[in-house]
Amino acid sequence: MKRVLSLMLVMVMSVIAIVDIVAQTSTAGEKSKVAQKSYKIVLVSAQSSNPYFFTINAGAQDEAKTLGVSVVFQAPQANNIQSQLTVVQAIQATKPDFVIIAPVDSTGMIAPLRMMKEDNIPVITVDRDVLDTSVRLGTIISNNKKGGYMAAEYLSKALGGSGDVAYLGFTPGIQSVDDRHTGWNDGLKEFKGLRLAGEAFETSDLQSLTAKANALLTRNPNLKGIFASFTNAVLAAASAVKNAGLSGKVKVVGFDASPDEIQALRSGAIDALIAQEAYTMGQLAVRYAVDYLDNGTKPPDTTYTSFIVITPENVNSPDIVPYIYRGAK
Amino acid sequence: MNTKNLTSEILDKDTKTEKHKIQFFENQWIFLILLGLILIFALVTPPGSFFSFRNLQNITLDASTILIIGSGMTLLLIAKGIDLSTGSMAIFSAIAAATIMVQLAGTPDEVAQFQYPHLGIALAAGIIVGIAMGALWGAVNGLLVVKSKVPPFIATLGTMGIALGLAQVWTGGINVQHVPLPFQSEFGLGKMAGLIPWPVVVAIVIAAFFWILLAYTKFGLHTYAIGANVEAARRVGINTERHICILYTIVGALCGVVGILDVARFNTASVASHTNTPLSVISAIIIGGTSMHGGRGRISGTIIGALIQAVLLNGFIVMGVTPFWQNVAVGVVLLVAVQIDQIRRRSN
Repeated sequence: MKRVLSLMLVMVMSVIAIVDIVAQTSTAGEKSKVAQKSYKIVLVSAQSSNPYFFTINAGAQDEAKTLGVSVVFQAPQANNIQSQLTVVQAIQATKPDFVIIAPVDSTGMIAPLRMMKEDNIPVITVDRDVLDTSVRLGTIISNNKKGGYMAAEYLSKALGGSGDVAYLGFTPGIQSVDDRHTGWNDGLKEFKGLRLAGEAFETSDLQSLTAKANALLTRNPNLKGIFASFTNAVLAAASAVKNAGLSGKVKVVGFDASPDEIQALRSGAIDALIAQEAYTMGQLAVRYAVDYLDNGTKPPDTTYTSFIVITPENVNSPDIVPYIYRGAK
Repeated sequence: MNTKNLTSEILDKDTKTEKHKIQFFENQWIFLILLGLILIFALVTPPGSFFSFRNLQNITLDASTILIIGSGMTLLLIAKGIDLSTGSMAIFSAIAAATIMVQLAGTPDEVAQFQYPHLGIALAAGIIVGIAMGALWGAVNGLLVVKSKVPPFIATLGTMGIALGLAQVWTGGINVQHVPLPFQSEFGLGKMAGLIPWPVVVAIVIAAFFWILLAYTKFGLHTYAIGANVEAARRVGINTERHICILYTIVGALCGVVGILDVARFNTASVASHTNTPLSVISAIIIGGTSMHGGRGRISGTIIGALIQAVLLNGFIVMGVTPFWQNVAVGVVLLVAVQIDQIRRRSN
């Protein structure tokens, strides 16, 4: 009886998995054949549940449909090297034509990317890069320094040129967020009316971030603006400002445009969101991939995508909607 | 008073052979499931993708971390202990080892330029310190459980947070940079005889050691005895407190080994790693047939449990299944294994 049960379970799991794959491939549908072959591209994200990466995937999938190639989306179980390595190794076994990856660590992922290069699998990195650029063809990243600068610029304008401001960011170690911090500091140097009253760093844990945001508000009663440089920091800052009853009095500028950040924007807790062109990143990556596979054209070493500033005034306009990050489907 | 004879009597010769027979049968059972999974994945994926030497090699590599910690943890679970701090101990050891290696290999400028005048001693010191740090944390766990009578679940939950926090304080959250490259190229990514990755070799040696320790030595026998009935074991003369403390220290040291292997494979030490490790290790051991209620278990089961998890994870990715279904599948397998454990217990 146990024997039968266990075997049945394994079979049921396999059936579920097969049905899932069939469902996925059948949505590919008819395509206008622009690429020379129906290439198999794999997109590896850095986290399993992040609207930002789903948006990159959305751009990639749409471009793939137009060009007649297929993109498979894979994500590591956890946001660490071991997990992403498991995914990369397994993908190598499927012999893809091209791999687009957002590396979890700029040092730890060098060796796995090099192994793919030695296996003749071309690689492009998106969202962040690895420190050894020889292991990938090119990278597509936001010009995060510019984004941080734009935050300082926006706050300066919103505060009429002067006021106390604070920074809430990720613990140093992720290139993209560190660059935003650098750009922000450059902006502060230029917009001299802004005075940096405090800084706090934390990992993506929402509770700890909110505690730090509350602390910033308590310590600096004259605080007029906060720059929160990644999604969870934005949500934490919004929550802290609302709880202190300071919505509108303390202006929060944040990075990224996940659905909950947009909601906070609409509710007035956040003043502006600097959204990355995640959708465009996905499109460009697939376009570069097909161009390389068809014609051998190497993509540029670094392609910078830009930003859209989303405010309560323009959040419903149709040009802005594509930049709002989406869910998995 | 010959402790060994009395302990055997406690375990009761007949039920011991009976237990071993049941366990052997179940392990054959789990082994068949493993083979079945491999077969199914080989059939539903393009030929030569899942079922290729390279991919199977990668699966063993994925399973090696779980197996190394799992070998020690199997003994701990048999003795009715548990350790949730394994991930944090591995992280702390990795950071200690990597930091020592970077500091001793040369001056900061030399190391940044990939020059390592004192490579040998740096690596040796790093490895020793890494394992020592792990053993130290393990001893802390053991003393907490044995001396202050804190339940193991709570005690190790506490050290999990403390060890991780201290690691974060030490590094400021930044990964250790400039770890000597040869450690990665020669060892972390190297293969013995060009065939078996060194981390897998380490895992096999450790599993073999604990297999023999558990099945053929007095230490192993005492471990079973403590798990079956700690009070009786104590009265028969086994120093249960020392034994349990040693078990926790062993698990800590094994986490140190894993930390060092991390540094070797990834050329860095990161506080963000090992988020799933504690639960994956325990899952593998349970799937392998060791009971959460103590008193029974074998290393062979743990090996198969670790491989089943790695096969599932790898197989679903090769199939192209969405990442979310992968979580579902691994959870289902664990529940099935626990269910079998419950049925087994009731029938005994």
